[in-house]
Amino acid sequence: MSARPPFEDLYREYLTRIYGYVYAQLRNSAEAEDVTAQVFMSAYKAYDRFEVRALTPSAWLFRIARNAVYDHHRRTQVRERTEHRLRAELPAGFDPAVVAEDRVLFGELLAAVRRLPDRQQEVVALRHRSDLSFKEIGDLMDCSEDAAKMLYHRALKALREMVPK
Amino acid sequence: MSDEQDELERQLAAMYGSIRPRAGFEPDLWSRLEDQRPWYRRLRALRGRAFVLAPALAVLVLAGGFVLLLTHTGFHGGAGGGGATTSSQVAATPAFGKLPAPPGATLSPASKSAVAYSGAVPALPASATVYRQPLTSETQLAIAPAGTQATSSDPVVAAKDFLARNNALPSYPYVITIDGYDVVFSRQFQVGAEQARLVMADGRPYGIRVTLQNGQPTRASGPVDQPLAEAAYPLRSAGEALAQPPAPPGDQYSAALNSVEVVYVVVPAGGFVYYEPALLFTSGGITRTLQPAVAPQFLQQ
Repeated sequence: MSARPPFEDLYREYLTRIYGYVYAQLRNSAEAEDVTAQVFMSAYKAYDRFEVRALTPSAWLFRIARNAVYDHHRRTQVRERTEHRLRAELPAGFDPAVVAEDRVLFGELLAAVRRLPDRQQEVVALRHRSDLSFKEIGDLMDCSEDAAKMLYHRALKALREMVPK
Repeated sequence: MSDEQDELERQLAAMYGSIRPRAGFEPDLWSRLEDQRPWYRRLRALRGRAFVLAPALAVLVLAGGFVLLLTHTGFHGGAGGGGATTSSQVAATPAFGKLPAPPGATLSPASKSAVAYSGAVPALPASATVYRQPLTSETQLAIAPAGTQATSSDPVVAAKDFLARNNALPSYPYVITIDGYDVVFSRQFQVGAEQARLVMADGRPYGIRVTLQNGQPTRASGPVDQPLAEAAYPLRSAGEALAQPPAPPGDQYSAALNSVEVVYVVVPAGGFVYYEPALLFTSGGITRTLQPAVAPQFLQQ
């Protein structure tokens, strides 16, 4: 039976990754902090029930993070407003100062990722932030491994078209 | 896979890798998480908590502590050099009391059997100075460029020039690190015969941070160069620390640690920022995990 690592270890290892995953799908660092805090609060409360055998810590935490992002969107309905604003105003409305403030590299690429359809955004963020396999990403997103791969490559194709070389 | 796709994926990796929460978020959230612990598992959270028995408990703790320890407060002027520690500075009662542990640091041996350390053993002195600075807006730099800045293609030169023109170039010994788009001037402190640089709990450099875009400084932030309060604390032996290296968390449980560096780690707590000696473990120069160098009995558990 696999031993459950101390929660402190999970926290240190995954805080930045979860924050990155969340941040890429929300508007700004303040929202990302709120949702990231919710993720770890929920994980902390549920950690006694977490079974390492059933799920890796990464898959478990990202599942919680995914639900937290969805809850956040439901509560604030910010996704619709954000997408509308981004689609209507980019690139003129893209505020590099916000990205610079958060010291994010390739800020225009982040803006492009945020314009992708929800599931494509999610698969890109999971692929680059979670270290999960496509099989695990598929499990998380309720689709097959092949479907997750397809979704990811479609996202890359769309990004290539959106981001000038 | 095409070169174009390779490049896009490389940029995506860099983009996601650069998304990090602000420096204080990790300890702030950890502190909130600790507040969630049930009372019987919350010895660590007794500090600063209104508790029915707190006065009596405090008297008992203090009485016990004063038998062993002597108060030793130092608020020395002069920011230069960080001050070497001598054995005469090691008082039985360090002035700051029990120190807050670096966030995420492992204080006790746990299920770390898969971890092995195979590097050189650093020579730790019997004690080292811990530094403290109030955490207020007055002690934190916030410089934005005024008007067009003359710049250099060398980011370090541009950052130094920017700080010098704003009278913010530190007067203390420092080491310069490039961290993403930032140039970081990390203060160095004396530990024995060595200079130890200042880092955050995740191992990234901490200090005056100049952010550049297209070679142009866009802001500087970090601790103000000012005198620090000091107190000497006993260190655990290097052997003791190395016998219990903390495990790299998560997926890297089986990593072999092969290098350790004596550093100072910044620990914000209770309205102060503490600079505490610590051991920063690496594996292949990548995995970082940190363990306090201060003797465990002087750390809040």
